Parts: sequence; structure tokens; C-alpha cells
Amino acid sequence: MEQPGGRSCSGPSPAPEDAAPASVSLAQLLQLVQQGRELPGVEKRHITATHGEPTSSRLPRRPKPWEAAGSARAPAPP
Amino acid sequence: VPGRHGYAAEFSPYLPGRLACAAAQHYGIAGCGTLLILDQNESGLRLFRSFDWNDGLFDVTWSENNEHVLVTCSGDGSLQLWDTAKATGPLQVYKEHTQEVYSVDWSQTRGEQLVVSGSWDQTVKLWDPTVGKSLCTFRGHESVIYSTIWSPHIPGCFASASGDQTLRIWDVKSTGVKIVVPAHQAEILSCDWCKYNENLLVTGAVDCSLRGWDLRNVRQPVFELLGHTYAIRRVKFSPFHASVLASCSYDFTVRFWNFSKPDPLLETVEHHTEFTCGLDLSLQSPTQVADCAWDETIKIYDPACLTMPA
Repeated sequence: MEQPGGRSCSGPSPAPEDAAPASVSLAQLLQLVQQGRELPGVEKRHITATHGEPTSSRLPRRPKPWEAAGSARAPAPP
Repeated sequence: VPGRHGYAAEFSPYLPGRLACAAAQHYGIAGCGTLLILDQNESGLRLFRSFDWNDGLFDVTWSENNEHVLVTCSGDGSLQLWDTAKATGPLQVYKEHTQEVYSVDWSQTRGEQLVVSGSWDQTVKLWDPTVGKSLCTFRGHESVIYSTIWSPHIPGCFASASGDQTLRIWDVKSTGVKIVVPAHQAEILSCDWCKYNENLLVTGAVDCSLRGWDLRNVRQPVFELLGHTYAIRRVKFSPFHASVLASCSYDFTVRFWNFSKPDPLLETVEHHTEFTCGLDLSLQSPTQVADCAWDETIKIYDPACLTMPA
């Protein structure tokens, strides 16, 4: 993520603080980011692709409910 | 799930009761991401497997031709291909977008296996999961893209919703946009196609409204649904009922609507204590819904309005 502060949160910040002790509230996080401080417990990973082949599929494709209805081009609802 | 904020939930099209959830640490602002594969049984939701990624995960889509495979997209601009039957992953990583990827969708029309991704870099990219590079890049949006969804009926056709306040319709056969709908005077965070009318879509926006659009005449919406008190984060048409749809919002609620009724709001579900971002309607059960929120919970339930006869 290039710009932690650049995320547009399209809505108001939640007022209540998260009660779980393992979590930091959004308001606290934004404050830490603005201050340029490290966020607590940020888990860094270095995961890469395995380039393996997908496990073979054994199940047939299921029709969607709207396909099972017969006509895929139903008229507009009333 | 402690320390993870759910962004998206999708029922498997193959396995009843299997749900994938894309989540991010720290509300997606920093830290890693996790893909959760959950199975539902009599006693509730059980974690089948989880996969971590280096950055937050913002959306997830199941393969339409392999029950083990799904694709996620991430804050680092990449997409990941996963295999639920393998203990570690991902199988492949597709890195081309230059900013956060907020939306991925696997095509539902038969005969093609294509994935479309929408990014904050203002582009949509088309992918064949067996090919490492994108097939095509679609430009035109003038702001971040929040949602990219394939038509369930028209092969090669997909819609995108953007912070530029437009809904755009595209066809993979050309890189130029087909239709531009100035759908709202606010950022549009979500869109979906009606499963029973190939011309009808819905948009959900920061102005708290849902609007229906008929592609044969996009000058005015065919319906407007009001009731949410904050931005609408995701909207999905029912797979079973032609005029029913569900929406989730930053007002913490999930609402169910039937736009053909004079009083369209069917039910409001208030069981989250934070922004509700993920929402999906089961393809196997006409009454079942899944959602996830920034309160670190994922819920599967059967709202009363769907269990009652239409």
C-alpha cells in the first residue's frame, strides 16, 4: 500500500470504539498514520506464488437459479 | 475473526454452505490480508482454511469452472489465484494495477473463463486466469473504480461503478466504453445486474440511495430506493426473485428491498456494530444471506422477509 493516508473512506468514521482488546479503533489508527507512527501489530508477510497447478475439479457446474427457471431472458418485472 | 476487517463475502457456486471472505488487517489501511474459507454446518460456521496475503484483501470471487479455485484482489495492486485444496498458496499472482484493486469478478456466462478487476488506478483489466498478463485494459473512468461486475446474461459484457459518479457498461470486444450513465451526484460504491432482466442494473452510492437503470433508456432511473442513512457499500440482486435486492451500508445495516412494491423496503437487519462491507445471497438457498463487517464478524442468516412467500 503506497499511501496509507490516501484511502478515501467514503462515509463518516465510526463513533464507537471497538471493544475487543486485540483491535485498534479506526480513529486511533488514522491518528497514528497522520503522526507517521508505526501501527501496532502490523503483520508483515512475504508471501509469493507457488506456481502450482490447480487441483482438478470433480464437480459438475451447477445451473444458476435464473437459468433453471427456463428462460434466461425473462421480461421486465411489472 | 479478531484483528481482521471483512471487506467481501461470496458463497461458493459449487458447495452449499461454503463461504469465502476477503479481509484486511487494520481496516485495510496497513498490514496484511486474509482469505477465509468457511463451511456452514448444524452448529454454525467452521473455518475450513485461511490464507494470508502481504496486503489487505478487498474482494473475492469464486471460479465458475473449478470448485477449489478463487481469486482475490489486494491493496498492493495485485490479484491472487487460490486453491482451497492446497494448504498454502496462492497459486498465481497477477501484478499490473498500480493502485489498490477493489473489485474482482469471475464471468458467469458459459464458455468463457474470464476475470475482470477494477482498481483505484482508474482502469479495469481483463484476465484469463491461465495467462499471467492481462488480456486487455479498459480506460475511461475519471476516478477510482469500486466495483466491476459481469452481466449474468450477455457474454463479454460487464459494468463498472466509480468515484467519478458514473456507471459504465463495457464489452470485451472493444476497449472503448459502450454506455456511460451519470447515475448519481456522488461516488458510486457498488453495482449489480438483475438476474431476470438483462437490461436492468442497480447502483448504490455515497448519497445513500439505490437506483435502478434500464440500459435501453438511461436518462432516468427506473426506481430509487431510499432508507439507508449512510453510504451504500454493496448491493446485490437476488438470484431467486426478479425484483428483490439486498444492500449493506456504512449505517451498519443490511436492507432487503422489492422494487416492484409501492413500499419497497422489506426488512432492515441491524446486527453489526461497524461498517458492513461484504454481502452475498446464496445461490442454493432462496432464504440465506451472508455478510461481513469491520466489527470483525461474518454472519450467515435467513432474514424473515426472504422466508415468507413473495
